[in-house]
Amino acid sequence: MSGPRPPCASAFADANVFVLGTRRSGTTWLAELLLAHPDVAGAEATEPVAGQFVPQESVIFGGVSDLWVNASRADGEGMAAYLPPVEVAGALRAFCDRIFAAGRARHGPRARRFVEKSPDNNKRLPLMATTHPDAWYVHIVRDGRDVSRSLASVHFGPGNLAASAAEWVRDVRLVREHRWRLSRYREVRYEDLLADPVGQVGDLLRWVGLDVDAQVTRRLSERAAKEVARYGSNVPSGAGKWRLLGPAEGAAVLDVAGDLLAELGYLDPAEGEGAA
Amino acid sequence: MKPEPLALDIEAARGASALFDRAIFILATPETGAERLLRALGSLPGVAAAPVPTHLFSQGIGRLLDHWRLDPGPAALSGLADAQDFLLAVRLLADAPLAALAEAQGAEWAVEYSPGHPAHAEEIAGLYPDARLVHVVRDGREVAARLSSPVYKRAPRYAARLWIDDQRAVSDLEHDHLFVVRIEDLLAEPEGLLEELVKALGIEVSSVAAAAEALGRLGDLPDVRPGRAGAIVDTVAYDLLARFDYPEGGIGASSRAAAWAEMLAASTAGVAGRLATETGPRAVGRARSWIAERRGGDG
Repeated sequence: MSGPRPPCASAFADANVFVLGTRRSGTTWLAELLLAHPDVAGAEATEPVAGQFVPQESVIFGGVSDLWVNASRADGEGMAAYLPPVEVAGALRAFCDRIFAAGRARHGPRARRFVEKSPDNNKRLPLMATTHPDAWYVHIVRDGRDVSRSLASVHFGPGNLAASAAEWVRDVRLVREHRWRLSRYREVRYEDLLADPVGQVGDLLRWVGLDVDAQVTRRLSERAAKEVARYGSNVPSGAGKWRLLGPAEGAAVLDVAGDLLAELGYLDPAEGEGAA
Repeated sequence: MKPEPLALDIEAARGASALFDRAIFILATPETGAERLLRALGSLPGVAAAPVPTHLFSQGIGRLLDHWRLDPGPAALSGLADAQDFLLAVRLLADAPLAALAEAQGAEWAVEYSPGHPAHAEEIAGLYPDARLVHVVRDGREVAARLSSPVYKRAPRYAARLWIDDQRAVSDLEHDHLFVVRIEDLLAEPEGLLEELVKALGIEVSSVAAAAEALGRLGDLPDVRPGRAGAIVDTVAYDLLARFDYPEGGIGASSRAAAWAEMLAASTAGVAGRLATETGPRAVGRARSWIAERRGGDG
């Protein structure tokens, strides 16, 4: 496969698929759908207690981020004194390959693609683009009002609607502002995925170089019906749940996220003016 | 609760690491004089000395290991790899800069010193069961005094605490190849001690004379008055000083009074953490040993 090359010899050349997106944007669902393909491996969502699905997130790039900083020291000390940048990237890539190889052996030894999703990755794109220029990056974007409502209601969220909206704005902007680094980047909307999961994910699977046959389509349909990572919510999954917010709550979200919502086409002009 | 130390299977490292049995980590508090030993070892044939600190564990590997230890369970790296797979991957990553150094110099051994590494001694020992760890010690009263000098600007209690914490972290290690060197002894008798150390490390050289001569040319470490920071070490860490055979004494009354004032203030303010919490029991122990000495050792 022609395309960008990894910074070192790699058994995972062209094999990594990274799902990017703000928490509560459908990242786990998208990863689950990609795993419908027999040639795709990755850690499945797990079910530790009381029927709660908790997504598996390795946060591997967060783990090595201090080394990345070490290698970028301005005082001449650290790894950069011993390794040129491409070899630092190669060493970090080799580390990731070893971890992903262990994961592939555990979750799908014959798979040709390996899916990883950690919302922390939104903050690591300069690092990831350097170590994994050959990877496939899929950014799922969901209406920030729905994300904020959902994020504010879960125990691991930032605690209130405004802070949740700020997290959505920060993450979406971070990914979009660094997408120029990623030669294999695609953006999908959660709402489009919800409307046609089989078609949307089928397109993504073909984009990453895999065939989509009737068996894959059937498996996709089965997985699309499965709900993941709801954290005890009894409100059905879907788009537009921000309408359940009260006027003050909705205004709090728009106050923070109105510009980006408008930029992404989630607001009609009248709503945008109302937010201001 | 302190997490279980991570320990790489030495056999896994043997088959995979380019630095297996060939890495030397010098563990020392800043201002100990460890750079002198680093240079001396680096002047030996077949040994490459890291010219600047790698900060590998204090800025990088430490966080990576924390990531594993502090986030156990499926929603972390353990969802992908088991502990030994992970540790071997980390070891090979940590090897990269020093392996590159050794290769560039055509050296068999690589030796490095990073001032923040004593705090990560347990991690280094766990990831490098085959490496040589050299604990370089200097009288803590002098080190603390240097660290509280205008060059470092540390508060005396923090300067004292750094030396104390570093020595305890390294002294508590269980490692098959841990060596302790007092810098004062090394500078007083460079050739003899260097020869002994090099032999213990397993470095095969015909002579250490040139390295010893280079070490000798550097002369003694600068004289330091212990001051308040040194007095805190003397009061709180007398057991550590004794463990490394540093004699008591040399603390003036005014420095000791200032040390007590600072420790009490730190204790009241709750900012000195372990140092403050240990002050009471250690002071009692100190008083008991003083009384016992006056009674002729029967107390």
